[in-house]
Formats: sequence, structure tokens, C-alpha cells
Amino acid sequence: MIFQPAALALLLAASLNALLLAGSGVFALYLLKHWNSASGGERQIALERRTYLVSTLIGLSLLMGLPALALFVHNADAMAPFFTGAMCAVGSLKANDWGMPALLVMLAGFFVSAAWLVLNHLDSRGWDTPLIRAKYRLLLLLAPLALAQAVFLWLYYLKLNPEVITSCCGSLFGPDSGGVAAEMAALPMSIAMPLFFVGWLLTLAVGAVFIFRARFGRLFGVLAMLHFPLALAAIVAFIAPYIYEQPNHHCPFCLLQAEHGYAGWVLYLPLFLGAAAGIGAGLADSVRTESLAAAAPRLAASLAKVAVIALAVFGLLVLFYMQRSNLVM
Amino acid sequence: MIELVEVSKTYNPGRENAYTAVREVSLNIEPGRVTALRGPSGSGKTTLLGLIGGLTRPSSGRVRLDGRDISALPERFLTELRRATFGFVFQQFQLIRGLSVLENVMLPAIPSGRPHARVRQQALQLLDGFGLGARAEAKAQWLSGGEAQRVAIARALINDPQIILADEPTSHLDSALSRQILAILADLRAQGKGVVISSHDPLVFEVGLVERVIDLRDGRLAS
Amino acid sequence: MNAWIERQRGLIDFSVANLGRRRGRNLGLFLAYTLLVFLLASVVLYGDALRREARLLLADAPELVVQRLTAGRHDLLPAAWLQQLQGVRGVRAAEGRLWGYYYDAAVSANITMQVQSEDPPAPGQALIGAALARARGLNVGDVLSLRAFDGTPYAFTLTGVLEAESELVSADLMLVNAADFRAFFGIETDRFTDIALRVGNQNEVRKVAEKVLARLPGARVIARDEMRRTYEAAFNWRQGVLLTFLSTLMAAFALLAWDKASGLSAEERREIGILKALGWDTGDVLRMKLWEGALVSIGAFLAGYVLAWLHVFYADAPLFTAVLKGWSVLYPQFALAPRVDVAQIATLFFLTVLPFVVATIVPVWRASTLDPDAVMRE
Ligand SMILES: Nc1ncnc2c1ncn2[C@@H]1O[C@H](COP(=O)(O)OP(=O)(O)OP(=O)(O)O)[C@@H](O)[C@H]1O
Ligand SMILES: [Mg+2]
Repeated sequence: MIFQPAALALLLAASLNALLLAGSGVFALYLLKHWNSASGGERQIALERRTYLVSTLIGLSLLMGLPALALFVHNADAMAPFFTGAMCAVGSLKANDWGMPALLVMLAGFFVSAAWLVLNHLDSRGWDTPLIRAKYRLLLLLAPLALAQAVFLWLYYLKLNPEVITSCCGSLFGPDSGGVAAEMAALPMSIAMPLFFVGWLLTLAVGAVFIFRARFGRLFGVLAMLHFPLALAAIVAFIAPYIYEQPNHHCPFCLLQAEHGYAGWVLYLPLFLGAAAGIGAGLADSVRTESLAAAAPRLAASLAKVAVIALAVFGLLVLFYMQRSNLVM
Repeated sequence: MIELVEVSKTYNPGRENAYTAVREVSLNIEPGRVTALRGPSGSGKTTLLGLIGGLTRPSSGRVRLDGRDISALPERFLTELRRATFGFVFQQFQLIRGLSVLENVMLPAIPSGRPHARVRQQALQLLDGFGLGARAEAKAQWLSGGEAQRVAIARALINDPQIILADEPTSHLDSALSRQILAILADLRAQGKGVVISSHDPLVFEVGLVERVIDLRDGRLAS
Repeated sequence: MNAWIERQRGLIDFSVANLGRRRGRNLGLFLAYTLLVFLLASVVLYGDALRREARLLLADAPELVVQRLTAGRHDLLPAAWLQQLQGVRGVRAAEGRLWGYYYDAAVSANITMQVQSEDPPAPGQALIGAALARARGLNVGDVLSLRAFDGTPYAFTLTGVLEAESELVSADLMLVNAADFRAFFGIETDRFTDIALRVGNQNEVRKVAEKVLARLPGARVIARDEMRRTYEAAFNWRQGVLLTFLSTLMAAFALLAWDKASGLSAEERREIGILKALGWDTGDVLRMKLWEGALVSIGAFLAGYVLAWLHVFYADAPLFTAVLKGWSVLYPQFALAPRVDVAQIATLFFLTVLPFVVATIVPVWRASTLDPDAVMRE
């Protein structure tokens, strides 16, 4: 067990979040059963009132989600000296079986709640609340994610044992250790680099077409979604080595440390923002309801603008770091 | 144009103390005219006024605003419509204590997101028009009854609604002040606004302001 | 977008006016909130500062330290061990160290006297820590006279005051050269206090320690990582115990906030009713109320955090010294190096603001769903 302020804070946040979202999930089941927008009856009005609470709760959940994710990773990094063999967050996260699942669930929770808020925003602009069922079905996915996140975090911190000898990032992201991470690391730069930049430019181009010509919105959403794993792979394959100026150091977590000028935070922020906004834009563009004929395209366009700017910033930052690096391949 | 089609309102439905305050009322309210709801105390005037203004949801029947059914509209949209269409003047003034007269008048404009400076200027104009320009910074609880009622009317006008709904606008005022308030309502009528008043005060019906009277008895139209 | 900003501005204006109008009602909550933030922030700031000092202390420490145990107690070791250790595979360098404590009655504190091997002070000269210099009222050039092991006075001329990044490292330190040290404490020339071992490959530290023990049966080997973990665990544990204790306070505060938010006065109900009748949507009232909570939270958080900051870094944390420091030696004047840390602020935010928000959100929502026509029936 690790008894630490940041760990306690995260456990508290995750538990409260799970509690609130579990309640919302139960309400979602009830709503899906009884919602009838044609009725102005008592139950309908009570349901409608409760949707205000649920929207606020999910907003709060998203608002907490990103800082919690950042704090979790930062704290894992700060705990590294605890564990023999750990050099950065990877070592702490791999110190037992629950660190990595907790991280993945937090990531998923972030994107799903962002998508939910896009649906919610649109739904509240249609007088016939056209997306209410889609929205509450998605909530049925979000609630288990919140529960899983709380459970994983508790397991992770409770089972954390300082005596354990863990592995450092070199073993996870080393080219010859097997697994997906290793394969990304093993990808030669001559392939990874063009692959990333072509994907990046394609995403930006489709985004620009969508913003100026209002076409291919859904394609942009899909590309923005694919860009996220592509960018993560690129960070492992070549961006991280450029920043470390070491061809064999591929870790995407060491980037978060002060020694590397907090490059990780600088890169991940626009990357996450771009991915979330881009997916949201695609989602908003695929809404084809009469009552949202004006609101949906408007929201899709604004989200696409945010996404394109964020992704452009991300790519330019990558170029900046590569340019600055003394690494010669 | 507001249409009520067989509208009923039951308070506490399904419970022992269930009470039907308005029963199967159908009527039309035309814009740009002064209509009065008349009836003894407890006859359902306030309830009906709330139904007309979308403040109270009907238990059955339909309310249409310019042909659009608003009885089952989600609250957010109903509120927006209500804000743009109706200005309410309540029986007890209902100003917020501790806030200034100006702040009280500006309250209904906050959710609309109109620029603060413009709303402020408009509020000051309205207050000037009612001879309250000098009282703009006074706290609401310092006002006399007549002043408070005029502030309440100014507040009802801040979103420039088509129709003013006034619940017993003269019930707390002496006859001189009542005449003053009725003169203001006549003025609004002259500016083309519709006015709906609920009242059992004979004075209201004497001054020649009211163009149409709707009589209520035990929640039903008495005509 | 502009309309959105204007609306938020209007809502904030109204919230501010509300807080002002109910000053008395909100003051108690605000004070309790500030106190909670103050206590939690003090624990976290203080613990983190100590932890950081300890880390700095260990940053330059050798991977392994070899001591000699005689009858289970730390004893001086023979210089011959040095040669033996240099022969151990994996050892990059072995250095004999000399250090000890001197109780200075004048300031009632222990001085850590240590030999500086690189660029040592000239005979009869010394460097001392800032805290010690302050306590003794000494400046560069002054003479510090201490009693040697045999009672004779021994004079050191000060050539400098140590300005270290961390005061914990250097507060009570006094650096001299080896000859002075031996003469002052009466230690023979072939003895050392302990031996510092530098190990080339970090992964071999354990193996080297085992080899040293095999070769020198009377030795004790202390690993730096071991010490670091022990320190961290000790700090975490103390901090955790305090925070757990404070969590009861946190729960009490959340209860208070919940109670305040759900116990609306008749006046407040009436006002919310008025707003809704005037064309405010449930969402508008909810946002206004959330703004109110946010303003109280921000105010209390800032106030509590700043107070905790002053408490820890400028008033020497009188509330927690005994529990958290747990150091056997107390320094004459001991100041922690102030630092702002974003992760720490995020931690505190989660521990204080989040319970408040969660405790108030349901009552606030309930209040904002009052019927708009309630006002008409008064
Ligand atoms: N919330 C409520 N619950 C139960 N009964 C109610 C409620 N509101 C109003 N009533 C009842 O409905 C009836 C009509 O009330 P309403 O206020 O509409 O009458 P009114 O004509 O405006 O009377 P007055 O002239 O006294 O203002 C009254 O008998 C009243 O007691
Ligand atoms: Mg009445």
C-alpha cells in the first residue's frame, strides 16, 4: 500500500466519480425505459429535470478526468525512485498488474465523456431532444468505465509494494522485448517518419476541406481518431529518440520529466485536445436531425477548427523538436 | 396569438389533496389587446394566467403559441419562448431584496446573453419613463408599494415582450396609485403590446382600459 | 460565443451580489473551508518539502557506504579495508570518509563536522552552514573556537558560509581538513569513520554489497536506494496518517457544505422562484449556483493555500514539526526551501474542492428545479 497525498487524492476523485456515474447509469436505464418527449406529464418533467443533474455530473467528470489522468502519470513518475529498476512512470505502472489497465481505462473514459458532452450539447439545442436515447445509451458505457477506473486504481495503490523489482521503460519500449510497444519502437525511422507525416497532413487537409467546404466531416472524425494511435506510435518510434538524442531510448513517459523540458506535456496536450475535438466534430457532423439542421453543422465546424489548430500545433512541435535535436540518424 | 384548448390544471394529482383549479378551459388571446380575467378569490385566475404564460404546465389539454404546441416543450425551449414573449408582473411585486432597483430590472435579461451595457441603458430608460430614474441605485426593499409595482413593470418590459401578464396589479395599492398603474398599462397597450390582467378590483373594469373580460367561476369559464 | 460570455458574466455578477448579500451565512462556511485547505495544504507542503530535502541529501551520496560494527555498534574502521574494497569487482572507487558530531553547548545543537576531501580548507580553517553561522552570529573571517576531545580550545578561522540548495543538507555542517579533524577528535591516521563506494553499473549494486559482506565479515553495508526508500516510506507514512486523520475533518466539512446547500431559507426559495418565473431556466439557476460555489472555493482555496505556505515556509510549521520531521537533531533555525508545484496544487484541489462540489451538487440542482409558478402562489 502506498500512502501518499497524490494517491489519496486520486482514489478519492475516482471513487466519487464512480459513485456519481453509477447513479447516473441507473438513471439512464430508467430514462431509456420511460422517456416520452410527447408527454408533458409529471414523470416526464421529473425525468427532464434530472437530465440537468446528469449533464452537470458528466461535465464535472470530464473536468476532473484530464487533471486526474495527468496527476496519475505524474505521480507514477514521481514514485519511480521507490521501485528498484524503475526509471520513470513505466516502472511504477508496471510494478503490479493494475497500473496499465488503470491508465487505459482513464484514457478511454476521457474520450467517451468528451463524446458524451458533444452529444449532450447538441441534444440540448434540439427542441425535440433528438439525441436523448443515443446519449443515455452512451452513458451506459461511461458508467462501467468509471467503476472500472475506481476499482483498478484501488487495486493498483493497495497492491503497490515498494520491495518489488520492476522493469524500466527500456525493457518495455526496447526493440527486442516483444509486444506492440516494442514493435512500434523497432519500426525503422525511414518508415515511421513518412508514415506519420503523411497521416498528419492528410488529417489536416481533410479537416481544412471540412471547415471550408463542409464536406467529409465524418471522414475527418475517423482520421482524427486514427491520428491519435498513429501519433503515439510515432512518439515511440522516432519523436522520443529525437528528443532524448539517443537512438535507442523510445519511452513515451520519460518525456514528461523535467530533464527533457517537460516535452511530453507540451506534446500530449494538443494531441489529446485535437483527438477529442476531431472525434467530436465527426460525431456532430454525423447527426442528421431536422431540429439540429443548424446547430449540428455549426458545432461540427467549431470543433473541427479547434481540432485542426491543435493537431497542427502538435505536428509543428514535433518538427520543432526534431529540428532542435542533435540526433543524427 | 395564444390558444388554450381544453386546458385543465390539477394540483397534487393522484393524491388525497388533489385539487383541480382550472377545468377544460378553451380560449384565444389576441395580441395587442387588453384582456381581463375576472372572478372571486380562488376561482383560478392566477392559475389560468400561469397557464397562458407557459409558467404552469397543463395537466391536460394543449397550449399553443402562434400555432406551436408548447405544452410538452422541453423546459429550456419553453423558457426561451416565454422570456421573449411574456413579461410577468406578480401579485406581490416579487422584487429581490438586497439588490438595487436597476439590478432587479436587469435580472430577466441575464440568461439571454445580451450585452450588459446595452441592457443597463435600456433598464435606465425604462426606469426614467416611470419616473424612477433617481431611484435606480436604491435597494429594492426601500421602495414604497407604488414604486415597487412600477419597478416590477419595468422588469417585465426589459426583454421587450409582446404580451404583459399582470396578476392583480392593483391589489396592494390605493386608488390613486392604482390609477397610475392602469395608466401605464394603457400606455403599453397604445405601444401595441398585449396585456392580460387578472383582477377582481372594480376600478380596473371602470377606467375603460379592458377590451375583453373573461369571467371565471370555480375554474370554469362563466360565460 | 459572445452571448455565452455575456451570460456567464451576468451569472457571475449575480453570484457575487448574492454572496455579498448573505455574507453572514456564507462566512462560517468560508472559514471552515479555508481552515480545511490550510490544514491539508500545510501537511502536503511540509511533507513534500521535507521529502525534497531528503532527496537532495541523498542525491550526491555514494551508492554504498561501508561501516564497521564492533559489538553491534558503529566503530572506526582501519585504512586497510580501503585496499581490500578497491579489489572488489564492480567497485569504481572507494574513499575513506571522516565525519562526526560535536555538541555545541553555546547553541544547544549538534554540529556535523566533516572532512572535505576535494579542495579541502587550509589547516586551521573551516566552512560552516548558514544556520550555524546565524545561530552563532558568525561572519567570514571570524574565529570559531571549540573544545577538542581533550578539552583544549581549538580555533577555526571561517573562510566561507555554505549556501546549499537545501538548508537541511548544510544547516549544521562544518567542513574542515583531515589533519584538523583527526587532531580535534583524537583519531589516528589509519582510521576512518566509514568508506564510500561508487559502483559503476547501477544494476550491480546488490551484488557488490554481497561481495563486500563476504570479504569483510565485520562490516555493515548501507545502500543509497535502500535509504531513499526508507526515507520516502517514512515520510509517506507520516503524511498519510495525518491526511487520514484530516479526512474525518474533510467529511465533516462536506457534511456542513451539504447541509448549507440543502437547507435553503424561505427567502432563497422565493428568490429562485422569482428568477425562474422571470425566464431563468433550470440550467441558468444551476450555473449561477455553481458559480457561487466556485467563487467560494477559489477564495477559500487561495486563502488556505497562502496561509499554509506562510505557516510552512516562514513560520517553521509549528503545528506539524513534531509529527512530520521526526528528525533527532533540531536545527537552530531551519527554513525549508519554498517551491510551487502544480501536481501538489492539483492534489490539494482534489482533496478539498472536489468533496465540496460533490457534496453541494445535488442540493444545488434540487434548488434550481423549483417550480417557476411557485412565486405566483405567495
Ligand atoms: N400549489 C397548489 N396546491 C394546491 N392547491 C392550489 C395550489 N395553487 C392554487 N391552489 C388552489 O387552486 C385554486 C385557484 O387558485 P388561484 O390562485 O388560481 O386563484 P385566484 O383566482 O388567483 O385567487 P385570488 O384572487 O385569491 O388570487 C385555489 O382554491 C387554490 O387554493
Ligand atoms: Mg391570484
